[in-house]
Amino acid sequence: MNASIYLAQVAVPIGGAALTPLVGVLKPRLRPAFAITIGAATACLTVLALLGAGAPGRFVIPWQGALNHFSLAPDGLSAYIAAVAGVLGALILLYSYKYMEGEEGLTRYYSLVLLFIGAMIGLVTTDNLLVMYFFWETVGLCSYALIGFELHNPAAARAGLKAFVTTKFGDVGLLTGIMVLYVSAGTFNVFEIMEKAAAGEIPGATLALAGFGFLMGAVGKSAQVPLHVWLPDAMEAPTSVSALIHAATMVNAGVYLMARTYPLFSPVAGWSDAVTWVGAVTAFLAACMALYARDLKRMLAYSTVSQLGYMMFGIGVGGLLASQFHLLSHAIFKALLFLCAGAVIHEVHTRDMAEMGGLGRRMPVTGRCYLVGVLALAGVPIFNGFWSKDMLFASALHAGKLVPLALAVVTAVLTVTYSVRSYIKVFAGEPAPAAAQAEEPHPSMLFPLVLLAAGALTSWLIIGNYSADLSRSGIIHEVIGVSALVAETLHSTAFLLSLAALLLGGIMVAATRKASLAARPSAFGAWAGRGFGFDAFYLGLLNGAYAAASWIVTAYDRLTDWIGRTIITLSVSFGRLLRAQNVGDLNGNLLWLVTGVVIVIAIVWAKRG
Amino acid sequence: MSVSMLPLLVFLIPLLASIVCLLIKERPRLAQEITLAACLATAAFSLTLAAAVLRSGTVATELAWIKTFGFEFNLIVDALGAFTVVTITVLMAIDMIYTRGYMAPEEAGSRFYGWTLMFTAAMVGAVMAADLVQFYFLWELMLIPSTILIVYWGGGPRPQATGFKYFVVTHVGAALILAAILWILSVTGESGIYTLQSVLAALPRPTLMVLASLFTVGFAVKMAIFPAHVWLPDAHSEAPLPVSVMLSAIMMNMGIYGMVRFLFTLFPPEVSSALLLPLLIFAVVSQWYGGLQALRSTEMKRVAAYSTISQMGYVLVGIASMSALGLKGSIFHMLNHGTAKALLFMSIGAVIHSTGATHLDKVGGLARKMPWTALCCSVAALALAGAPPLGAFQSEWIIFAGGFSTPYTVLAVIAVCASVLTAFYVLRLVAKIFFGPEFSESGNMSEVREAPSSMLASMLALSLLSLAVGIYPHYFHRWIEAALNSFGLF
Repeated sequence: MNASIYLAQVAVPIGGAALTPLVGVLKPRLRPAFAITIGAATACLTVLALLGAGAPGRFVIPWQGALNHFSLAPDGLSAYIAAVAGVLGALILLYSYKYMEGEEGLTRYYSLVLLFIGAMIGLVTTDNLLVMYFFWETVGLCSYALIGFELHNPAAARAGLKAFVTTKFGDVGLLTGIMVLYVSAGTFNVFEIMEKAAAGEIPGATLALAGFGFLMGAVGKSAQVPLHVWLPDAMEAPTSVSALIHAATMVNAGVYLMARTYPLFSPVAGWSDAVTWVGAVTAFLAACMALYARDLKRMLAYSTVSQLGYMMFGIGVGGLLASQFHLLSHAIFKALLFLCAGAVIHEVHTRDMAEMGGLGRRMPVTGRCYLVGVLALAGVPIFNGFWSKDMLFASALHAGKLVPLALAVVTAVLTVTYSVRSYIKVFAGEPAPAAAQAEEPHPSMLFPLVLLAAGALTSWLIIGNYSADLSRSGIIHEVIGVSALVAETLHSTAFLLSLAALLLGGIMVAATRKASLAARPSAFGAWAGRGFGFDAFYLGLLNGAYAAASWIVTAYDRLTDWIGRTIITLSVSFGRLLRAQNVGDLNGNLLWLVTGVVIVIAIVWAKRG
Repeated sequence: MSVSMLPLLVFLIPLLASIVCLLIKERPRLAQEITLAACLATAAFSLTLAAAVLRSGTVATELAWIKTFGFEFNLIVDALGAFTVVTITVLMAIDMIYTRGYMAPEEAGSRFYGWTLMFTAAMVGAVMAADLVQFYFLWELMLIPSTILIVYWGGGPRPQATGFKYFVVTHVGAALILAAILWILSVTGESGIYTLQSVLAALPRPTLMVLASLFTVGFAVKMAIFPAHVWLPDAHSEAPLPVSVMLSAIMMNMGIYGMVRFLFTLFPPEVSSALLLPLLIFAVVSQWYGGLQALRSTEMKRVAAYSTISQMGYVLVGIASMSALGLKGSIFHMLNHGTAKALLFMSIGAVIHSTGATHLDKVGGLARKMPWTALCCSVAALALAGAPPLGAFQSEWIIFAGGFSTPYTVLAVIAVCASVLTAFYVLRLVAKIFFGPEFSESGNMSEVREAPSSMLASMLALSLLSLAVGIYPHYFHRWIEAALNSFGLF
């Protein structure tokens, strides 16, 4: 495989992003077509690169003088994520053609989405930590700008700011980790760093600092507790963007990073446990929040946080293949759910599920696609989410981490409940007033839905190639075929857990069927609905820190002002004192003169004596 | 024309143009044209000079005939000097293009241009000075026109008081530098900046420590490092906007240049290394102090001014690390901070120019009326926040890497954390001015227009510069590596 394809899959979308403003000036009407073309070309390139993923190849150019080179070197682990970004990106650009039609600022929109796709592919395909950080921050920038896409909406501006600053907080950890590794190992190349670490050339303290720093970065980017607060607010972005960035690609970057650096940090004491617990707690808390969310997109966002928690949990228990496979499944079914939600919101003009209902009759195809997504999310057998979630449970059982596993299973029950219930609220029953005029979306929006629904049903069939490709990246060692997967799954204890979760979830759905979303929730429900008070806590913390810092800097400024004024007052009064001697009073002057002369004579006399 | 005349040209063009502008008091329009032409020519010649320096190492102008009058006047430019001179002159030229849109020449007056040019000449002259006395003379010359610009063209309630504070406090710094220079002269009798190191190495360690500290503190005052920052917030926020750009984006580089040049060219490494910890502490405090004050400010220009204190803290982290890595980042940050800060001030200026509002709470939602300004301001803000693919990212990470190469990891982590604060205050500024519902308390919203083309052109040029450096910084790295090699310390 020629290394130039690795450059092309990054450069084509980024170049497209740079050219979009030009298209916007010359022929604004062609912006969507241009973006879709670039997106499709990128998708083809990523698939081509994926098919050649086994072949070694590396693209390198000098970038930062003697310090660092820019390099791209995809392997199995990254090629799949790049392909997801490329293919989903193209589908979402196609979806945007009708979905975003008539919006203000389309040049900005298409340019940023293309830039995002390129940067996301760059993020995963480089083997250089600094280049990765460069793209890591670039995708964050695209996310910030796209969350704030609606310029006049103050909530969107706030959400963008919150997303940028919260993830930046995690990035401090990541950058710290990269820097200490660089200073210690003298390189940014992740494989060279691993070699040096294996040879014992990197001190344990450095590895520990870097490991937890990287974890912090992943927690920020993949919206894990306690830095998850930005993702639900990020739903102010257009739904197409939520599907691409905040469900299928960017938020996976943290999980990817943990998998990529697993061989480096897994020997660090406490690191695996930290990853496991972060994941399990996130999965559980976010599922609770999803249970009590009324806003359709917010519910999906909490669900994303929860599923990302699963992936982290999977890495923590050593199930890297399971975690990465769940990443692939989730990218497909969650993008599907978001795009269906977008089609619905586009028609009913509200995000409140209580105002929806009966849309299945008005929008049958969308409804069925959503149902496929829900079944995959709930982990119903045959759908892709079932297989990967089951693998996660099996990995945890294998590792013997039973307490976090229990949390994960409870999460699975909650997941069934909220996901199935959302389908019932939105699509089942009699059409609500808001849904009366709803219609099936344009074919260009339906096509991605149908394709993704097919993917949610069948993507698990590629497990054979998938595990073989991943094993070549040197991080994951399991290789498993489809038949083996089916056989192992059916005979495993984890399968029982999955079935139990489904059953319990089903019972919960049936039990709460009658409960209206508009009814007053329980105390716990209200608490979960407020996101367990994380936002309020952070707000309080920020205000407190701000007040304290304000007090300190104001006190300091007062002090310096006072010193300055005192110096001025003193010099002015001293000047006044002197001025009093220079008013032309001859008697006074003579008196001073004579006094001076007397003193001088006295001194001379005394010295002589 | 011989290459060795280039430094002289870069110094004399603005100086002579300055004198012309000060003389043609009645013709401000002509003065404006002369100034722009002079600044563009200076920038062009300094780029040529930089090319020559990168080819041949050092370029020097020696004026032998001047010795017959009893003193020497030599200019020396190495890679570090060339980088600083190019940063100063290019930013100055862009600032002058901006000024055409921002101020009518009649309103500014010929003298505004004259003092501006003299300020430029003094800055480039000081950078190229080959001799301590000559350096000090030009360093002081820099202070006079800038004070005049603040006092006579400044806004704010009391421009005289602001100018006075600026003059006195920075003069304290200059006095420390003077003390060090006089001490060196009296002890060694030698005054060539580039020849002193071997002479100084023979002096006792305590003397060297005191000398190095005098220089460091003197230049730290110019860099507005906490607690010597007191002169900056008023001066930078009350000066007329083009002068704010000159002070914040351009003149701050003089402090950086001075500190790098004097600490590393004059003193043996073990002397400068002793300053590591104290400098690092003040650097981190400046980062946080400036950032917090920027967050508290509601006046747009004041946010940018405090941000400069914080950014100089970043730069000092790099210098304090006393490593080739950190120093590289600090030198590179001259250009990147200069670009981003000039852009930030200019876009704030565009908002002030269009709406008349100076406070963050008095305007909002301007993005639709002023899309290009909003874009440029976002670029500036994101660049300051260290977001790729913008220029400042490329220097910030090196500064941090320098910080981590010191034994003080905790301080380095605190330094990195300041970037969260930076992101917060700059993006808050952008969000408040440009996003949300449209309103302007000071005037009719329908009268708000995009900035004039000369202002936009200069802002877009800076945005593109920041983007270009951010995407492909390789050649700048090569340049700064050449500068570091000239120290021969690493």
